[in-house]
Amino acid sequence: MSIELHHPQIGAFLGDPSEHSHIVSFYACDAALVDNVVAYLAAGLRAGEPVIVIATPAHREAIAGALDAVGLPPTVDRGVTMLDAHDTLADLLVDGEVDATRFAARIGDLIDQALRRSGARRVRAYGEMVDLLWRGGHEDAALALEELWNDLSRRSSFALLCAYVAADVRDVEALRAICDTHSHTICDVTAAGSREVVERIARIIAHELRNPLAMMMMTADYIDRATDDGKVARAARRIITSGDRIDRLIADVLALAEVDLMPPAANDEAPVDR
Amino acid sequence: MIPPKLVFVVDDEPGFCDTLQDLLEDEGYEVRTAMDGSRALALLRALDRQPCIILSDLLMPILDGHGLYQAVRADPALAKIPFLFMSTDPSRAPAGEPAIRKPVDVDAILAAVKRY
Repeated sequence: MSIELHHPQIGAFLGDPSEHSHIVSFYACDAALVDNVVAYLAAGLRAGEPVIVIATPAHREAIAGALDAVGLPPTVDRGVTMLDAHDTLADLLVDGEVDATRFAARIGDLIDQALRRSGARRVRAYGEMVDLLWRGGHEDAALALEELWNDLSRRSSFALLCAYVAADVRDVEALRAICDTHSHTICDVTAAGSREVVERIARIIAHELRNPLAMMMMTADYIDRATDDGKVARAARRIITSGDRIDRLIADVLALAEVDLMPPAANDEAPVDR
Repeated sequence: MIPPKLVFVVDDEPGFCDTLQDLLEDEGYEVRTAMDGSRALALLRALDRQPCIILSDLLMPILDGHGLYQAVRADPALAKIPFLFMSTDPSRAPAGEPAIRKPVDVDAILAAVKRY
């Protein structure tokens, strides 16, 4: 798992994602979402990469308008494919589960065709089907769909951006499960409603740091107990002392993150499209 | 001859299980390990005798500590095995169950295991 908090350079990061990136963005309002998606898609279109958008009608309209406004009208000739997230998801479901064969046939073919038609090195995709599943309470199905995207990424060349409504990801375990299926996590700490997500991400980072630290300190403790060599024992105890300091620093950074995150910006923007 | 007491360790951090296994074996325990709750549950059901305690992490892939705890408590053959949770955030352990904070105090773990 790789977690990256990008502020305020989210747009620059999304403009040039690394090969086979599978990025998740947590958003609190549609305007922030559209800004990020358009930064990601526009850079791809300018680089000659085909673009696939699988989104709700309101988001497709907003994304199309924003692309148009930056001189990139989302036309088929330009390599833009826009699909409805509800309809596409419905095509993939069998007995309420996302069917791997249908996914490979529908989405895999879509990406392959886009690559063939354009001659480009890769496709940029943006998808909201996972968010629809998650919001509908089908969290396991959402994570299974993320893994299907990951499987496809091993066979096909595309970058993928997913977005989840920040408020719908309610606890650390859920957030970690989502982050674990992605290569990068981004969260705009200035966006209203994102503060809680950033705090949860900080707690995950603390967990990810403390687990290997715990292993190192326990192993040093074991060496201290097992050895008859005074020098080795003293070296082991120095590791433990330094580990204690790191542990206290993690606690301090966590406490700081809880009080020192930017306060939510005043926000009269439209809520998320549900 | 009485076999040594069996301790079951569940943790997804590479090396954590190994070191804890070495520590406990040096104290005379037999140790089994698993790196997620799902594997732990399968191994527990396959054992020919029950561990005296399960030492488990909370945040793990596939099946986390809470899921393992619920599955063990729901299985009549395993339900009475005591747990000790080891976590970077012990406040998230199942209510009423003992938990210690990571990085762990080895003496606290050994003292807890000796009680069972």
